[in-house]
Amino acid sequence: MKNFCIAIFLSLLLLFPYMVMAENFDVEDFFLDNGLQVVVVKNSKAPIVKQMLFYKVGAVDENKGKGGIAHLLEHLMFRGTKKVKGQEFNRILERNGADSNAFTAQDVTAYHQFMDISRLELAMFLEADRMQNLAINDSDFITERDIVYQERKQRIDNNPAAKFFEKVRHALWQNHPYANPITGYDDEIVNLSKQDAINFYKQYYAPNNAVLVLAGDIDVAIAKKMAEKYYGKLTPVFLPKKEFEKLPDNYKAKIEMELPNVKMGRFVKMVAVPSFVQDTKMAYALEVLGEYLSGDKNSPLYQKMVIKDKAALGVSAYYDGLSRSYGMFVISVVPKVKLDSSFENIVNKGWNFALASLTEKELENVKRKMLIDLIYLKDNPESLAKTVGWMIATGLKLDDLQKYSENINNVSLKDIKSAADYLWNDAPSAVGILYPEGEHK
Amino acid sequence: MSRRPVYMRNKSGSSWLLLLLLLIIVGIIYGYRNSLSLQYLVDNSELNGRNFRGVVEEISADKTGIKAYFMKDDTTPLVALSFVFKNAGYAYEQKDGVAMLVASMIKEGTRNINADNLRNEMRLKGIKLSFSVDKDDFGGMMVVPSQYLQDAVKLLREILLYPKFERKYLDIAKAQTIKSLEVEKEDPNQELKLEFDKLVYGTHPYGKNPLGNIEVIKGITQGDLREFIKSTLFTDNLYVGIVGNLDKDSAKKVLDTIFAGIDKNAKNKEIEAVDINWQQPVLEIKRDGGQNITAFVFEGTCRTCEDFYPLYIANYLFGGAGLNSKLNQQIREKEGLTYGAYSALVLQDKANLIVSGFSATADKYTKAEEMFKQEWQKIRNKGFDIDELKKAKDYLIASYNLRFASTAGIAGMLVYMQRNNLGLDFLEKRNQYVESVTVEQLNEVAKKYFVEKRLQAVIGSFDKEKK
Repeated sequence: MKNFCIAIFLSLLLLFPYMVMAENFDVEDFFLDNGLQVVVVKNSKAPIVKQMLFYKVGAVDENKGKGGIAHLLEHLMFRGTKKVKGQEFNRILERNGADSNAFTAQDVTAYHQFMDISRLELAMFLEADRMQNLAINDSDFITERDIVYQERKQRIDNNPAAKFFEKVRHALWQNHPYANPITGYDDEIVNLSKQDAINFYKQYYAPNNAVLVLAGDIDVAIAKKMAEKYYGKLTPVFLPKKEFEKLPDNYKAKIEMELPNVKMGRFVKMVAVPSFVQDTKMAYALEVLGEYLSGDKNSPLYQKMVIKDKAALGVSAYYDGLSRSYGMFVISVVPKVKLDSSFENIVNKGWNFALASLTEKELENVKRKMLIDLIYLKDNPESLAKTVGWMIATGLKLDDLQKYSENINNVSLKDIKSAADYLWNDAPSAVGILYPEGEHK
Repeated sequence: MSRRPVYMRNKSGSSWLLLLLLLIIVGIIYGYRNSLSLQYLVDNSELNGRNFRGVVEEISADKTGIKAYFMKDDTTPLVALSFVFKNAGYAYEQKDGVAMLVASMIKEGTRNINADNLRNEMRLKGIKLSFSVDKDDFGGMMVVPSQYLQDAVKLLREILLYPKFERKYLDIAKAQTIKSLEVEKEDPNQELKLEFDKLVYGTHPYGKNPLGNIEVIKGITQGDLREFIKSTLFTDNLYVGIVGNLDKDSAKKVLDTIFAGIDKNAKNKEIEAVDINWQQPVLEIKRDGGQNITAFVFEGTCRTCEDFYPLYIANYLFGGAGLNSKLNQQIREKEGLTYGAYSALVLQDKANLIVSGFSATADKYTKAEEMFKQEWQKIRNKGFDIDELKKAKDYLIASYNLRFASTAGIAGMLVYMQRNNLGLDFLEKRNQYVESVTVEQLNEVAKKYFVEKRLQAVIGSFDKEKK
């Protein structure tokens, strides 16, 4: 009987070799009474820890005309509180060897420090303090607004192709807030006021609108004690439910541009598709599809468009489903042939070829790769902290991380084909073509 | 005993209240200062006092005698092997652009396994192999789930000994390189860097575009790529770091298997030190865009030179400390003229430099540049005080453990230690090296290095009215 069981087990292994690798992440979570969710990621390679505080607020939550306020507030968070004045925050963390930074995205804003474990309590004190005690003075506000203006110039205006991607994005999302750049536009930034920042802060910065991730050499029991000690006294706020605009199906936009200083043509197709929170089943199918299409040079898009047809120099595809509203599927191509409006047909051919070539065996290989690669996520506390925090801040549960392998395994060929069919034919999309300077007829 | 009532009487009861009040005030001030420094949160933390437990050992392979630094780490079932061949960077290539092409093409098939199958095997076993080139070195990194270590080792051996550089992938790589040479001009940062390299290094091979040039790339053959490997990669010049959940004996076998067939005796060409002409005017490149971007180059020092740690700290305080650096405090945090200014020590075999710079819109640029120069001058004239030195040491020592975040990162560090002759005990001694720097040493390097001898390049519109 025993041998029989082993035989069955072995045959299962042969059928599903990747299943043995679907081990769990060493991750736990708990809630404080004020609504703060705390996730603890255990990794004891070294006595270090990453603290990440995600707020479930980003550029999408800005009022019309106030573009850039989420990002400007993120900057102002380093300008002092009632207790920790001026630039003390940065100075204290520097003296304690912490690498501290923050970022603003469409859906979330995150503040993080990477440090020796002995400094965790200090960083928790500081992070908790600035959740509700921010004190912005007028001259700091003006200076920081100047800085974010310079940041936009550096990120967008110094990079000729960036304007193009901003335009295509806008064409796809129209009235949906994803249409707006995270930095805000120039004329929005210069008109932001200190009161705008304070209003945004008071409305959204609260324990019940945040997720705290502690990743590294830390046990749940200690994390609980410390989270309670430093974050426990913060008060929750009332959070109105955010409703996002719905995009019409079958909406197709197309943008063609020529820009100065551009030397290389680009083709991009951005598609609004369901995110993990909107449609879990389709999201997992899209996740696998993204890996199948983009993995490496063996990917069918690369083999068809670059190697066989010699129509492109490069092609990539990805699915980003960790968002509070829609997800996005993006295909980018660097054309080899002379670019014109009909290049879309070449991309369509590549797409059709890719979908037609997907077999059961290849699907199993793609899934196997995705699961075996999870080990790299576990290796580094910094990367896992970011992934987990982003997942939860966009509305997923910790259980979704633990079930990731299972959900990937459950994606069938049929699921992928129907997701791909929806994506390519019905979902709202925008195609962008960027011509090199002087090459648009 | 007898004096207390007298005192009480003489000073009346309100004195006690006054004293009490004074004590309370002192207590508040003390508590406030304490909370401002907040150091008690570190000193009293129950998380205090933990140390990284990894131990670096030197191992020597049984058959080939190839040496490596090794660290056992069982926390993740991964093995990382990092390696570097010195004198094998693009400055040493025979044809322009070959080294970069080798790095990007070396996985494209071997005599026994074609490129497509090789990629597939890597995919199914989670094997990550990457190769890189800089001016001085050719390097690689292998990371693999330990259950597939032997497969990865065999693949890497094949790749290094019998690379095929399959024709169809070479053709496309050449076309991509040629396109990249054009696209580089889109990015003002890249344009600035390439033009500045030419100015700084002149005709020295360091001044080349790492991608090569279009005419030479067109003519490159599979034979050229094989020739690069044969004539530049020798185990005499090899440094290896191995980290992960494998034991010492397995690590030795890994070394023997991967590197056994590579020639030992180095026959690389010699390259002279760069003789920089510091008497050149500011390089101005006119171009419309969002901001003016500038970079400065100053003389630096080598990794094992006496001045290294003092200069490292001086640079950290000047422009290496992020927002807390003097540069960012003045130009960014006080004035809001830039999104960021930086300064870094650049360690290269043939030219050690300090590279620094920032970008700002044309209307703010002139003022920012003035402030940059003032800050530089202030370092030389005023130097640093003991508090600043302490601040830098605090950061450098307290952040020490952050380098142990990932298996691959640790492997890379083990290579860096050997490549720069830092010694097997570097990890134990590093904090002492930092700690031993004195304020006198710091101010000596401030005088010696923060001098007017510099080169500068700017790209931008130079239109001060424009915003």
